[in-house]
Amino acid sequence: MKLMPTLQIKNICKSFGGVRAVNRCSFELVDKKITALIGPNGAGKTTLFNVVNGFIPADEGKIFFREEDVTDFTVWQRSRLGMSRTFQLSRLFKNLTIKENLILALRQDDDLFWRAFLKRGEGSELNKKIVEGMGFVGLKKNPETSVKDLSYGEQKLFDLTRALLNPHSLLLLDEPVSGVNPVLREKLKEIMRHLKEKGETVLLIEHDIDFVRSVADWIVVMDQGRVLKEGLPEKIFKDPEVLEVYLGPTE
Amino acid sequence: MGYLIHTLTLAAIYIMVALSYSLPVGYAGMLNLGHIGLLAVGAYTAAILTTSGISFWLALIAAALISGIFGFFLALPARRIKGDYYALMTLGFTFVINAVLLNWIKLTKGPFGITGIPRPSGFTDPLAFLVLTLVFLGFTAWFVHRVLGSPFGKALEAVRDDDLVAESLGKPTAKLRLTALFISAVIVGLAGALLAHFIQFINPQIFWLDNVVWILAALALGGLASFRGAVIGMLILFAIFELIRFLSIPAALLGPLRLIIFSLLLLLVVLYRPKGIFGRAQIE
Ligand SMILES: Nc1ncnc2c1ncn2[C@@H]1O[C@H](COP(=O)(O)OP(=O)(O)OP(=O)(O)O)[C@@H](O)[C@H]1O
Ligand SMILES: [Mg+2]
Repeated sequence: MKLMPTLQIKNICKSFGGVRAVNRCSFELVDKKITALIGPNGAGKTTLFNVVNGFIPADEGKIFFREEDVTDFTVWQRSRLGMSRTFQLSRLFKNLTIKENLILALRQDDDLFWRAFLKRGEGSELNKKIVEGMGFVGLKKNPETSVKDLSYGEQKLFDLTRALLNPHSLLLLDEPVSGVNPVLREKLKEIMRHLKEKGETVLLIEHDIDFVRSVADWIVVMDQGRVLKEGLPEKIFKDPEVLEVYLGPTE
Repeated sequence: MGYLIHTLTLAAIYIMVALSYSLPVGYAGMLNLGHIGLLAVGAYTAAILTTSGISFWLALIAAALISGIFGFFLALPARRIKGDYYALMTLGFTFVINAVLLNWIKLTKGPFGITGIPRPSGFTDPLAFLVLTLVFLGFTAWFVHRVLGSPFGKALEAVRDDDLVAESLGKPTAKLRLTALFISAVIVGLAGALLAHFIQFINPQIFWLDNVVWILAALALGGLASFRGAVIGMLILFAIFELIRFLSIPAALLGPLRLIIFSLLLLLVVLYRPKGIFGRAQIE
């Protein structure tokens, strides 16, 4: 019996009014590899992400995650099964500190108010994980800092840290390097390579071709809501059809 | 002396109201304008039951539970209706409660209200009733403080700041909102019952909208998402209300003057400290 892949996207359709944002999309993720989802602006990448993690219900199609049909699961149920994501524009809990944001990602039992009246003693363990997580991405900040005081680049890095600390078996990263400076971009490349070494399964949306080329193991190209092509990076970036939709018919 | 005891008892009851209000408004980000309706539910439940012969303690429990159930139902639409629309919907709840209080005359005695609500035996003396109220306030404060400082409190704050992101980190936001509103409603139901037995006479007027505005203003002054903010905000409100009495001005001017002084103070705070004196978050 063939083992099912971590994530299967089957025939997903999603329209907004008249706009077919995602149109019969199907592909699977390769386990423990980085799959990049690329395509021009408005291709439907973020919409597909939102369907995968449950923010948006699909009009048609199914999502299988770890052998389970999660199409009708809520966002938090999918998260607890092991999906973790970042956002194209970082969305942090803006009135909270770095540490509070990260503890929220780490904890999975904080919906039970009566636990407030039980003995607690896992503070040092959480602290250790926070220090580790921030060390892993190289974010040098006092954990008591309000997240409002982070720069744009730091926020992107922090959004990634939070997704990494959220218990998961699948990482969904929406444009982690968009708008960051070249130094941080190199740093993020390094982080992605470390993630691969750790055996993380990643679905990555990214416009930066150079970045995708250097980190992705597999590439899925979307255009106008459809999967146009998928394959190994060296093949995809030589494909004339891909070059045309992605780079425009220039050369 | 009698005046002081009276004021302190009222202040203690309203600090309970403010603390219970900070849970949905300050922490979970639900601008529940039905809070005053829940206070009414607690007060009327206790009043109706005790005036028909049921013991104070049973009535107290019933008031808390029935208010809690109403709170539960007020939380249900919160997953779809958000922000200002939620405020409007819950405002509707206060209107409905008020209409019921005015018109279900058999049960509520309508606009005339319920009189002769008995003090619980052993607590008929004002000082004893103050002590009883302070015990309830102390328990409430301990409970709320503990809950707000716990991971549950932080999860509520996550829901307030960005509920979708909270979901994506595995927080069942609907359940969190429900729990917050239920706890809040139970406490305000208790406060309502204490209020009814303290003033011994209630009518629909007491639970009209202006009251929720005052409570909200006290929270905004003290600061949202802050335990201290809720307590201090309400204390300042009471201090202003009561101190103005001692100025020798005509009674007719008392009401407007309170409003002016408190509005000015609130304006100053909002200008210079948008989050209130101790607050950590703003209502948007
Ligand atoms: N909530 C929405 N309501 C209406 N239309 C939407 C909504 N979200 C996306 N769309 C439309 O769906 C299409 C796909 O958008 P989507 O954000 O998924 O593209 P994308 O591939 O992520 O683009 P980008 O690279 O710019 O982030 C676009 O035409 C967009 O305008
Ligand atoms: Mg996008």
